[in-house]
Amino acid sequence: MDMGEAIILAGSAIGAGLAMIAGIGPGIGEGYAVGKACEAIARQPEASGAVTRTMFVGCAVAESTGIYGLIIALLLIFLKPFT
Amino acid sequence: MGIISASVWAADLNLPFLSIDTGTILFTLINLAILVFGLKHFLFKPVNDILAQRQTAVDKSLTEAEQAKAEAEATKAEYAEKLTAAKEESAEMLRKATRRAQERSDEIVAAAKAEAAAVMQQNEAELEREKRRAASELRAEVSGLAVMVAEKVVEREINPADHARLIDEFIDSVGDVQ
Amino acid sequence: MLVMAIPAFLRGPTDPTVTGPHVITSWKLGPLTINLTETVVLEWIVVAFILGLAFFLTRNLRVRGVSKRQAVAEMAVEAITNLVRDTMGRRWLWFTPYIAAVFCFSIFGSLISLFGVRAVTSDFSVLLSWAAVTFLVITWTKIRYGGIGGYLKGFADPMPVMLPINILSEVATPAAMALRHFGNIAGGGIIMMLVYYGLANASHMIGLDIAIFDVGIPAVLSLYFDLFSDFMQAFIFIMLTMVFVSNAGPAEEEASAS
Repeated sequence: MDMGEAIILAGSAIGAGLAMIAGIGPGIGEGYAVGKACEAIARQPEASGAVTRTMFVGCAVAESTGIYGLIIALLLIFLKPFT
Repeated sequence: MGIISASVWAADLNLPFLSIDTGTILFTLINLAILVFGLKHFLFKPVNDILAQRQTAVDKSLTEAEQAKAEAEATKAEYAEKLTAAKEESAEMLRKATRRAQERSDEIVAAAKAEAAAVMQQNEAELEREKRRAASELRAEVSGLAVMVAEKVVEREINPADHARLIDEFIDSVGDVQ
Repeated sequence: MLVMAIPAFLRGPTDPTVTGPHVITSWKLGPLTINLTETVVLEWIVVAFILGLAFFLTRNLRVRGVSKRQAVAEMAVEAITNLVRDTMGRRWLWFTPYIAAVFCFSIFGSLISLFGVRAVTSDFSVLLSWAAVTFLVITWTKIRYGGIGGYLKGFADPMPVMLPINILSEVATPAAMALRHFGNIAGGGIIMMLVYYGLANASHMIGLDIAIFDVGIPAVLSLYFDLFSDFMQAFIFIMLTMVFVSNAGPAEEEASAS
C-alpha cells in the first residue's frame, strides 16, 4: 500500500466518521417529535392512532438526512470510491 | 456510472452498491404492474364483492326486519282494537242482559204482586160473602128467636106477616146502629 | 486436520464485501444494456408469493360462515382501504391496489433477506422505479386538476426566480423517498452483515473454527434491522406516496364532503 492510497483510505474513514455527524440532527429532531407525540397522546388519548401515524411519517422525513449521511459513510468505507 | 461503478464492474459481475440499472427498473415496473393487477384481481375484487354482497344482505335483512316490525305493530294495533271492541260488546251485552233480567224480575214481581192482590181481593170478597151469609143466617135465626120470645112474652098469636115486618124493621134499625 | 473437514460456510463470513446485486445475464439492445439481476429473480419470487397468498386467502369466499382465511383477507383489504380513505380521501379509493401492491412488495421484498439472500429493496433501482411511479402519479394529478398550463405555472410559484428550486424539489420528492427506503434497508443489511462478520471473527479469535457466535445472537439485532425497519419503511413509503399524491390534487374538503 503506497502512501497515496493510505492517505485516501484514512481520508475516507475520517470522511465516513464526519458524515455520520448527520445523525445528530435526526436524533434531536426525532426525539423532540416523539416527545411532542407523547404529550399529544397524553392530552388526547383517543387520537393516538393518527398522532402515531403522523409522528412516524414525520420521523421518516426527518430521518432521511441521517440516512443520506449513512449512505455516504457506507460508500466511503466499503466502496472506497476514490482509490 | 462514474467512479463508483468502475471498480466493481471490473471486480466481478456484480452491480455497484448504489446503482441505477435500466434492466432492473424495467423489470421492476413490469413486476409492479403485474402485482397491482394481480392483487386487484385476486384480492380486492373478490373480497370487495363479498363485502358488497354482505352489505346488501345486511341491508335487506334490516329492511325485512323493519317491515316485519311494522307488520307486527299493525297486527298488535288491530288486536288491541278488536279486544276493545269485544270488551265493549261484552259490556253492552252484560248491560242488556242485566236490564232484561231486571225487567223480567220486575215483571215477575209485578205479576206476583198482582196475583197476590187478586187472591187477597178474592179472599176479601169471599170473607165478605161469608160475613154477609153469616149475618143473614144470624138475622133469620135472630128473627125466629125473637118471634119465639115475643110469642112467649105476648102470649098471643100475632099475624106472622106483621110479625116478620116488625122484626125486620127492628133488625134494620139494629143493623143501622152497628 | 479438523479444520480441513469443516465446510467453508460454517466458518461464517470472512470477508465483508458490499456490492450490488449479481448480474445473471444481460442483453444488448442497441445502446442499452438490459441486465437480468439477482434482484429481478427475487422480485419474481416475491410477486409469485404475494399473488399466491392472495389467491390462497380468497378461495371459497362466502357471505356467511366466514373462514379464518377469509377473515384475514377481509381484514387486510379493509385495513388498507381505510388507510387510503383516511389519508387520501374517498376519491382516491381506486388507488388502493397500487398502495397495497407497493406495501406488500416492499415488506416481502425486505423480509426475503431473512432467508439469507439480498433484500429486493436494497437495490436502489427498485426503489427508484417505485418512486418514479409515485412521481408520475403526482405529475398526472397536478396536470389533471390544474391543466398543463397550471402545472407549468406551478414551477414559477411564487415568483419565477424560484424555478430551479421548484424543479429541484419536484425531483427531490421521489429521489428522497427512494433514497430513504434504500438507505434504511441496505444500511440495515450492511450492519447485519458486519455483525455476522464480527461475531465470526470473534469466534475464530477464541480458537473456534465454527462461527458459533453467529447462532442466535444476531437475531436480536435482526428484530430491529429486519422486521421493524422493514415494516416501518414499507409503511412510510406508502404513507409518503399517499400524502404527496393527495397533496398534488385540490384540497381535501370537496372529496371528504361526499
